[in-house]
Amino acid sequence: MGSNCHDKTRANDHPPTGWRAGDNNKNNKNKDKGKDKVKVGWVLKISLETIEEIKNEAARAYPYECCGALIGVLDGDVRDVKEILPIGNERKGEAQRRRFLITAEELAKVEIKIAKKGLDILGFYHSHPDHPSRPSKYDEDFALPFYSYAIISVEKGKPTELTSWVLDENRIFISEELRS
Amino acid sequence: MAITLLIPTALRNFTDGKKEVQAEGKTVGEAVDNFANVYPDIKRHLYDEKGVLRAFINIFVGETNIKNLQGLDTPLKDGDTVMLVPAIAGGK
Ligand SMILES: [Zn+2]
Repeated sequence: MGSNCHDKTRANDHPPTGWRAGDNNKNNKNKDKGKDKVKVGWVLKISLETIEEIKNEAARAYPYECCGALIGVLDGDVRDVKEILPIGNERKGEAQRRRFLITAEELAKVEIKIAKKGLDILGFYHSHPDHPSRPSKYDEDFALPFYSYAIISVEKGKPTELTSWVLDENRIFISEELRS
Repeated sequence: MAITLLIPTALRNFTDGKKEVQAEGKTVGEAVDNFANVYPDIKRHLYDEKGVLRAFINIFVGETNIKNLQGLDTPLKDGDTVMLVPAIAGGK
């Protein structure tokens, strides 16, 4: 994906503004720097094979960002990922180096496809080419509540660490426990 | 018209965990309003302060975005499936 490199990023090539959940308490935006809060009780169950698939997607897309959906079943506080579904990054050309977009059209197709299997969208993954696997300000601004946001870092083409994050009630990303 | 509304996982907190909700309405706008009256907490996630549907929420009738139909005025028929779908974005 993302080979039309000479495409200029269009002014209107922006996703809609983020989902302002809850009361959007801005006073709580001062994060403890360097210390990730871990959401107690929320677990993303994901097999090593599935992580490997995400890594392969990320390596293939490098130096652009890949993205896709985490599909599975919700079992209490455990999100049990059964499969991933790669989705084309709809950002244009070079913008894909630092942004991803999954359009509602693409997501609607996914919803229809997985509903037949009794599965749900638990979250999304995307890659950070030559950037740590931590959510950016942009990630946080555009994130929706509930979903797990898994991030895979790719250093010089080689996928490294996978982390996963969920918004808390103040719209701050909290690190989520990964279990295989 | 009785239609089925499919709720994305992110919004099921507001529908008592239900994936599917039945709603009534002659148009998409009417059905979504009726639905939002039953689950009032969901309203602020669907509409802004001015009561306009939020830009990142997309509504599909079957597999077609209502943007390509008649928007919230798109007429519904019995048994239609209406789906709320967000767009997902991020970066580094
Ligand atoms: Zn990111």
